[in-house]
Amino acid sequence: MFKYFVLSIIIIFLNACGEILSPIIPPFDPSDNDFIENGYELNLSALNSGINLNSVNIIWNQYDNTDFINYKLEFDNNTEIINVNLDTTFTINELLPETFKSIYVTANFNDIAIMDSINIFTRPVFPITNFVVTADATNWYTSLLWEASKEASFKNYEIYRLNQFNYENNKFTDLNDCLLLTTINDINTISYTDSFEIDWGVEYYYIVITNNQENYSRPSIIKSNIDNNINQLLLENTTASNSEYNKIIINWMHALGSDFYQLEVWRSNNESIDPIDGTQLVIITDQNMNVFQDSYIIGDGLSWFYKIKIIDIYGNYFISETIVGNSHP
Amino acid sequence: MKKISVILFINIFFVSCLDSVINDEFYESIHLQGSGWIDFYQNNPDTNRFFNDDYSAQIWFSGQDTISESAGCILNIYDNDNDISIYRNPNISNHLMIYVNGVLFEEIKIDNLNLDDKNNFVLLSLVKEQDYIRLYINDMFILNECIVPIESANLCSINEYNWNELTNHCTYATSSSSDCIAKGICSNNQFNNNEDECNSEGSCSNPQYNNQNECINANVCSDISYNNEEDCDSQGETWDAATWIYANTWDSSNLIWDSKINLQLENAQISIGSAGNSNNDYANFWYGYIDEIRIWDIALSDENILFHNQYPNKIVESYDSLEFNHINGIWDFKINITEDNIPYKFQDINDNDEFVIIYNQGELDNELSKIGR
Repeated sequence: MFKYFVLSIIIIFLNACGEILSPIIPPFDPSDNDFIENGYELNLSALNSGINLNSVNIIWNQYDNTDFINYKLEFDNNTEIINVNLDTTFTINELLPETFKSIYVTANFNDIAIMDSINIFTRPVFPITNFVVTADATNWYTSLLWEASKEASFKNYEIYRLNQFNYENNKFTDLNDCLLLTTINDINTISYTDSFEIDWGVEYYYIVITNNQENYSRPSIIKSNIDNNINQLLLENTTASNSEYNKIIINWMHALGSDFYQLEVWRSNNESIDPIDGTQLVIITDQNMNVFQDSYIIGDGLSWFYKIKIIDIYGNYFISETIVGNSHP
Repeated sequence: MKKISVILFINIFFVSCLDSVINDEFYESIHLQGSGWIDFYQNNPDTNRFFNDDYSAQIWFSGQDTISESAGCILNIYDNDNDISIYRNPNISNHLMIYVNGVLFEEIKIDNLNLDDKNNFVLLSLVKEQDYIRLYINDMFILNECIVPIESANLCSINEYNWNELTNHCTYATSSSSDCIAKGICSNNQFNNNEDECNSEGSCSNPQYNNQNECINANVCSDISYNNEEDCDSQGETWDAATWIYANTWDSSNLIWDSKINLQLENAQISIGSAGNSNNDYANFWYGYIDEIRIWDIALSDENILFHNQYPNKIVESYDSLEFNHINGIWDFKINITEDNIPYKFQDINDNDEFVIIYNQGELDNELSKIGR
């Protein structure tokens, strides 16, 4: 028995040697670097861009050395927002919905300053979606159906109508000249039947405006009780940059003019995932915008796959081919 | 007792402690873990090595699977004015991105490359010859440009070609040499996109016809003042098929697949495993293994690169090879596992006055590894 005990001890001893750990090469830092040259970057981010209606939170890296003075924030028109002494986060409030702005942050040190900028943006009021309008062939009443707005500070829906004779001159650009059919205060109401002074056979156009408590609003797409208003849309010159630091610049061209409703930029992080099934980065409601800066967790040299979706006021849409971009490593 | 001896012998045979007993196992590579890099020194370990004239640098390396969202830089060569950096694409494991002076010059997909696999070692070669730089992965060029013979930025910009301000070339965006060579150019620059469009512009030998199809189906008199066969014959002229005379010509042999770029690099420095610059800023640290580094004071030829890729353990084909006297430094990081004194400065294995220093600027240490090519 003792022999087997000794044998067990010897076997355990031998096996306990195991794999030798990889030896560490002694750490060695370059000695002639000062702190700034040691790679401090502001590395601005605004993770909630496009999430809120009126505000965006900006974050940047902390600088700990003794030569620090302060951080300064400015808008792109050199309007100073604030000097921040120690915090590395700041919330920009009182922005209008659908606003795009460049924010410049300067870190001031005794002998040097470092500046970086970031584009921030707020979202539009959430409109109703999936708007469908149909005419009843018997009495020509119009049924309106939609999916509810997701607006948290919802106030009401306003449903406006134009007939075929005055639609082309207005297209709901001047709501004062449109017939306000009703105001609905319940966000969960998702249908309405228009029977007000209806003439059989006449084409009627409808729009639903979503208003919030702060009196900001967002129209729906326009629907007719007869015509589907099919338009052929196109996006051209879609590009994504690959040599910009900390951002990827997306460009496009379209010729939609006043029939423009909105443009969406979608992104995925994998070639095999359709960007439209990925993350919606932004909704742009300004027809004249043809550039968007993506700085949302873009990493450092990572490839991102984008598609751009353009939608006209009748709900027709066109989705671009996938474009690939990355920040400069 | 005999049984016990047999069991003990078998156990000793299989367990790794045997390695310790016979002392013949080596570390093969440096493992960079996202915070280290390698710089070159000459004459003594405190004097930066500057690369001038013709030279070549070769690195056998692999990557590794990481959660890092930063593109690691395997090789960076720079002087005060210019730089070339080679990064891996962090989320596509067989793509390398080559930036020249901060601008993406080329993103190249390399078959059989997997930078997420620590055992997938490849040879990266940098060759500087006069004012030109060539780069290879294994025996494949990775610094490619399809050059279109148009000498003006204005003309270049009106079609699908792009003007490269860095190299002052009109280029066609393709990563395939065959696509480049097959791509043609029209003598009339308006029709560079399409061979058919280029050729469709022309005129008929019978001026009655403006349409190419009508023209080639028509006949014409040798004296075109006679437009019917009877009159033509009666005047002793020849009635023959009309021909379409092309106004433009499509030349498919003009485009050049160039595998080098012209870049002035004086007193250049080379960093392996990070993107450095002349301000001593380092970033984009590599995750992976460096098995061997060689530097030469000549521009290696394509044949040399092919040979080294085929026979990674050989320096030259034979002792009388011209290149034999031009190897300046070899670092194979082959260290016996019993060695206690692990350095961060490594001298060339032939004790030339060439050194590399393994730096660290982060939380994760560099370490020696048994993983090798």
